[in-house]
Amino acid sequence: MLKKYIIPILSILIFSSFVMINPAGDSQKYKCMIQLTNYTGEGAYIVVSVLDKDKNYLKTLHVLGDDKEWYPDIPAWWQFHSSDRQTPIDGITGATIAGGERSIFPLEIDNSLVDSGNFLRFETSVEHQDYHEEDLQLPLTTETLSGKFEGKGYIRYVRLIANK
Amino acid sequence: MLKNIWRYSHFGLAISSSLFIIIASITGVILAFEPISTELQPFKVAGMEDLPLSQLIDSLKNNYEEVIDIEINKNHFVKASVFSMEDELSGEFYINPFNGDKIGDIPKKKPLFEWTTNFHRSLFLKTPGRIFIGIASFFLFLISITGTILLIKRQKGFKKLFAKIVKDDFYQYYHVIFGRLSLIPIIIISLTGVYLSLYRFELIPEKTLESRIFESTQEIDLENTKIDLFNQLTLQEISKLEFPFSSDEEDYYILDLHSKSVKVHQYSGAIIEEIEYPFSETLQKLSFNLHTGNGSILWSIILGIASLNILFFLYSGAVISFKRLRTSIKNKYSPEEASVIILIGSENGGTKRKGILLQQALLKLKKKVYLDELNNYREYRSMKSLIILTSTYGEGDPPSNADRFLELLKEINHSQHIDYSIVGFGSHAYDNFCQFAKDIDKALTKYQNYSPTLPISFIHNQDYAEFNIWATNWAKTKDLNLQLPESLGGKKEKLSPFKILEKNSVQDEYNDTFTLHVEAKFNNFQSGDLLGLQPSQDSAIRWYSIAKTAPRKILLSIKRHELGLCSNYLNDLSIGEQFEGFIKKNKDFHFPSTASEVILLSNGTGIAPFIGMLQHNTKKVKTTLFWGGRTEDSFSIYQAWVQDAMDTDKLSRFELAYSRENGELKYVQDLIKPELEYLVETLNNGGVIMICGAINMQNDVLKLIADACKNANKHNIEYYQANHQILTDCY
Repeated sequence: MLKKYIIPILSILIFSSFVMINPAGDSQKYKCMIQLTNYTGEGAYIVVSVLDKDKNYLKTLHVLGDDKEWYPDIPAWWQFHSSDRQTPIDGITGATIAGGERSIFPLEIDNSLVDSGNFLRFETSVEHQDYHEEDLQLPLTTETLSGKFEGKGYIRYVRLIANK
Repeated sequence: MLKNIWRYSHFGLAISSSLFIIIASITGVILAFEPISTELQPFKVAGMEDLPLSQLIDSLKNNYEEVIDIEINKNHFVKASVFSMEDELSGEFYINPFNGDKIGDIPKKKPLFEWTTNFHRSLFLKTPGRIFIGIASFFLFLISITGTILLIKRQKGFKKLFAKIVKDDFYQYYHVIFGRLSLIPIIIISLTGVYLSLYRFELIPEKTLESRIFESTQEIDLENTKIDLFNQLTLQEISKLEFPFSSDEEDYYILDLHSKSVKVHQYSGAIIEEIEYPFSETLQKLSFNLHTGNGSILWSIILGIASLNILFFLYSGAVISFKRLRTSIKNKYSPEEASVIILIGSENGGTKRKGILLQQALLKLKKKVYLDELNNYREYRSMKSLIILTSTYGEGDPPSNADRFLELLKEINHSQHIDYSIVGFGSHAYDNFCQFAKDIDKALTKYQNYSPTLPISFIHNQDYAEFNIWATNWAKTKDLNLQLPESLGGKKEKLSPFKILEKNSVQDEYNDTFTLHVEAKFNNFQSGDLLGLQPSQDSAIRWYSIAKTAPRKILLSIKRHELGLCSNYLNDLSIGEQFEGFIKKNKDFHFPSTASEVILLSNGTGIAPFIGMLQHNTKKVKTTLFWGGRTEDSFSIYQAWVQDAMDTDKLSRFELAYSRENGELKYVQDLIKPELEYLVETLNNGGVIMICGAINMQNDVLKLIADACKNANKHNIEYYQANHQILTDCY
């Protein structure tokens, strides 16, 4: 029973990892830091994604929080993610961080997405507390990809810096 | 009265929070293993405490592309979080601080502990669950406090809190013993639990952070960064260091020390800002560590044991309460019409239960009985007999339902003549043995119309057989055939056959004493244990103190009474026949296993257990036997045994007295009068005196010894009794 599926599953996995490592077109890596406010409560789920000028989701860049059962608590993104079969998020998922903590992770962004009128969104949600759809939203430009920006919800600020 | 308030609070608080406390304790026991299993992980590198921080930073910078932060936990494990644009080079792991090498992954929290932690702090009910647990924790604190107050009252003062506790009832005794031992851990557990809840719900007033900002005057040398502070600090002083996010001058090191957080300039090393942790946060950390045992195996073990104890308290407390509630008083007759009044002074219901049994037995005999507590003493118009059964609380005080009796006695007058009998329940382990019963006895002697039917009786450790004897004696004075149930639990003893091997009778003018050598089916008994025999369904059980002469062999010494059902039944049996009986352990009357010297005092058939004990004195402890009989012939049935013990050095000295020989009446009492000094000396040197025989003889002998003790000016007799140096088995 199991053996029958192993080869197809493996080939899908290998193929998909190829897609991840060699994305179409050039891309640039950025170092990103999210610093949270000193709220009390459980760790925050945070999603970093790219939206087009009409605020339609284009791509998930990073997810903090690996327990999938809470993803529906990030409704705007969840709607996109559950229908987005293109972007596996396993490789871009990290642990949640709690109030006062910070997380540093790399962001890989296709150059084609930058300076094209798109947005970079940080949305946050905490168990039994508020959901901030636009905790922080920036125009995705070369300029903004190097700087410090304050959030409106659980995020105190986000730092971005291009990798040398 | 006040004591009752504390007791009801103790009980009420425990009842109302028991469910939550049970859950928290069981999960608490499991969780105690978490810090233990964590600390046993091999991530602590010896000697790391004194390593300078700068050295750790250097070795990390040499090993990794970029460091995000380092953390040092209570177990002295050093965790590094490193970063790289390449995924596989990023991560968090434990390192060896000396060379920066990775020594292990961060183990995931075990699912069992994760699940249990969740259950422990929120019952899986999220916020409401946390509130329930927080309140239960506060209740646990109040229970500990009320328990402590009860204990102080019981022990008569704070100073005696850790003095000896008397073992009366198993549950009560260990409730107190364990309570005392785990009091401090439990108070710490409950208080820290309350604090963690309050902190979680932000109910602790938060002080604004004390922050000091420093102006940097130092020159910045980008090429040659040297941070003195990091050279000075060793790893034991820090808990966390966050590295600057970028090479930007505005990005600082954030260094968490144990009491404050410091921002350090990444080039000049100057302290930019210092934030003292608010007290509430320090307290939160402390509470967390104390509550969870984080970082200390020993403390985790203590917490685990304390949690187990809490479970035991709930169980033993429930048993104690049940016992107390079970014994409720019901009366058939009104206080006006009753002729026999039984008044009870009882703390835990043990004495009350005996009163209820007595009441029921008297009701069967169609007596008009009224049973009540001593504090409800009032005018009883038809009272002829008064029976007072009372225990003593703590160090000679009345029990809580009897503390107003002596006052009431003065206020309420009875004109009729009343005969009374007092039974005191207590323990020789207390100095003030049955003190309250003695106080009542003394108070009653002041009244002309009160006269005692029997002298005051004392019962050690709620011994039911002794109570039964008192009841029978009391009934005799009223010509009543009183039948109390044979045992308190109503449990039927398992009967077993005993086969008669040999019989010897005294051949003198009385012809009433004989010995039986019998064989049992089993062997787990000792000399001094009791053989119970019930010749017919409705007769009382007769007890015989036995001698074990050989494996499974018992020697009984029996005095035949003219109308004695039991003694005549045994006398009529011939060799080879069997009778049904059972053996009851009598731990308080076994030959001492460690004693410098033993003195055995007996009269009549009371010599029987001593014959067996002497046989087993293989260590040849110096032993003296005093015995009183009626005639020279009466000794003949024991002579061979005593002679054998003398010949084998198991008995060092033997003294005997005859009360019906040569016209001079000589009793055991007379034998020991010239020896009293020796008796007291023996007690003082750690020797043991055992007394077996008639109750009159016992009372006389004990009085002689008591007086001699007083004259000797050492310890009083109660001291030796409490110390198990004077053992008695009399009837």
